Amino acid sequence: MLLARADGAAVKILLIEDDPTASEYLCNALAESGHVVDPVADGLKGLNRAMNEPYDVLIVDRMLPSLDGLSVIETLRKAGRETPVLIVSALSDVDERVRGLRAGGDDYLTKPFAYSELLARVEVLAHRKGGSGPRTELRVADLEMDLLGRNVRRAGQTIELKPRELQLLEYLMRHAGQVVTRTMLLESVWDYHFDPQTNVIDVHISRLRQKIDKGFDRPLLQTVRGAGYCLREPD
Amino acid sequence: MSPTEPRRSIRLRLALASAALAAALVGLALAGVYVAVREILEHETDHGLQAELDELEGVHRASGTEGLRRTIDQRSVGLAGHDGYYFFSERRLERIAGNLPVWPESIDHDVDDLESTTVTLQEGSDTRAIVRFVRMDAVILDDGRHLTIGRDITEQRRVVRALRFAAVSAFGIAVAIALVGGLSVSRRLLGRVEGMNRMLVGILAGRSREHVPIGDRRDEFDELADHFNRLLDENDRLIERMRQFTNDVAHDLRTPLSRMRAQVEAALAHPDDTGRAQEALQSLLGEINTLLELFNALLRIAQIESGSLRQQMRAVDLTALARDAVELYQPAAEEAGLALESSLSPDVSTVGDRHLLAQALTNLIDNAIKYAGNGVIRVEAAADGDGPRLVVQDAGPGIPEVDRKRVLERFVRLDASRNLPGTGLGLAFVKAVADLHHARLVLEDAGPGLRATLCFPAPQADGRNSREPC
Repeated sequence: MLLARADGAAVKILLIEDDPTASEYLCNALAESGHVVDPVADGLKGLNRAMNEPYDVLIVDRMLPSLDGLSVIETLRKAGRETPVLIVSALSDVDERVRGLRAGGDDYLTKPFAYSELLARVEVLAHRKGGSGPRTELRVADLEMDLLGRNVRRAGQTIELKPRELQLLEYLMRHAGQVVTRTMLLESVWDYHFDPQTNVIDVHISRLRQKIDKGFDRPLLQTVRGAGYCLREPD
Repeated sequence: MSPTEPRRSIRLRLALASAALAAALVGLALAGVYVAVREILEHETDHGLQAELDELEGVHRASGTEGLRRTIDQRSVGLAGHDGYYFFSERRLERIAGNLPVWPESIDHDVDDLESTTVTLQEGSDTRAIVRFVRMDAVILDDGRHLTIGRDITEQRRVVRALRFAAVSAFGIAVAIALVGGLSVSRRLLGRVEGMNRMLVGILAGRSREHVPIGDRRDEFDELADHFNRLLDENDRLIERMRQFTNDVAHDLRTPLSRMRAQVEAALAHPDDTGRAQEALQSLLGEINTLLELFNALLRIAQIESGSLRQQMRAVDLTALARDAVELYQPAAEEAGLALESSLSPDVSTVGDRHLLAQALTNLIDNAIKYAGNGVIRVEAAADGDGPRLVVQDAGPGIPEVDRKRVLERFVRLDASRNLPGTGLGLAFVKAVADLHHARLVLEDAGPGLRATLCFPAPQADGRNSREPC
């Protein structure tokens, strides 16, 4: 079962990937998730389209014929194009990841990856734009977080959180309505670029859930089976 | 050297080089002696001539032409071998006195071109021609008369010539000796190299598993042989490890692959049972993920072992690293019925790769949670004179002493843990990270339980890590 989008709007994606099997699979999967995908198999063509057509997200493989992925991204950034880029690569070293992000990539995913992981990251990237200056407050339904005073309230009731729980909740609230995976949480909240063998994140989430959802009718922190978590107001 | 290329032994080159060196040294020394002796003798002669000319000029000034004629006559008595030659003449070179009958035009003044000359001697009316080397000097006296005197340097010349002959002979002999000596020394030395070469050829061709013989001289060749032997041992060890490793990978792949195959076959046997097919696919996905995880871990270990990550090392706060790891694992440990405690000294740090160290530490904590079963897990970050260290200690069954070294190898899983999930690469990963950091991974009995310590090298005065960990 492929994952349906958390909130209806289709994302327009340019997929620059030279492996035909991977490209076809991703196209089908992303289309089934409700997105519009244009596949391109080489770097120069990809750069061309990215320069001339409006996309919400670019998915760029690092190793490409005619122009490698990092050069594509660098050229785009120099030309002032700010389209979010997700780099996918078989190069897994932390250093490679740093190089990818330095070249102008916004996120980095190591092959092989689970489709749910890719989808979650693409959707997060697609909604990242429109940053209207630094925010001082986050709000999801009746859950509020004051980013300056670092305090959290639900339905007016103050909730005591440990520093890490606060970070975790902040990340979830900033990506409210989007699926975030365990790996994304490990990366952004703990800065760990590997997956521990034990499912440590699940326990952290369930503790956070205890604090923010217990005693309220409508649970906000939901588990998305086979993918990760999503903080949103239930329908 | 390509095998088709003919071998160019260094033996002749060595001998020639030693001969050339000897020739250069001996030649230089002898040439120096030769030139010096000749210069001294010539200088002596010229000096003598000048002094005699001065003296005779004085005689002329004091007692006139007649006085000088008498003095010259006294000095040039007889026709036999003379040291001195004299020719005293009028302005127009008409002879007044001396043992030379005519102005000795034929005698060259330039000493370098001086050839033996036929000198005609005269006493009274008798003349006699002799062949001599003569060096001349002349002066025009106050009254315009000429005085020319000469010195016989035939003997001197003979000495110089003998010296030259001796020098050339000595030079030749020295070169010959150097050549022969060089050849024999190089043959003796290279003989041992050749022996070694023959043996290595045999070993390379797989004909023998022998070792290069080591002599008892303990010289450079014995050292070389010893290093060769160690290289051969290391080579054997690596090949053995490689073989073992390939076996392990193959074995570890075969088990899940057979399981996957069985599931696929079972699903295919019931084409109409979509529920079963779904189940099989779900299970296959799990198996594939496990395999991918295994390969990733293998690649990661290989990459770490290659040492290429060492350039990215920088200061890492081990206290914060341990605090973060404990904080991450605390809920999971409690969920598993374990207490995760920590004892963290402030400001423990080392130079390294934060991500690898974090992963190594979480691997140790993972293991403790997985195998300890119950009790307390302690995580420690501390530093003393021996250097900084990270410790993870559990109260579980521990690892029997005989197995402690073995568990650090890839794919080694002790029988007791075979049925628990895991790749068998956790500790191998920690070991590889430790090696990369020149740290030691020590497994000890915590009575009961296992105490795993990462001992980092003590920082040096210049801020870098030393090579020797605690």
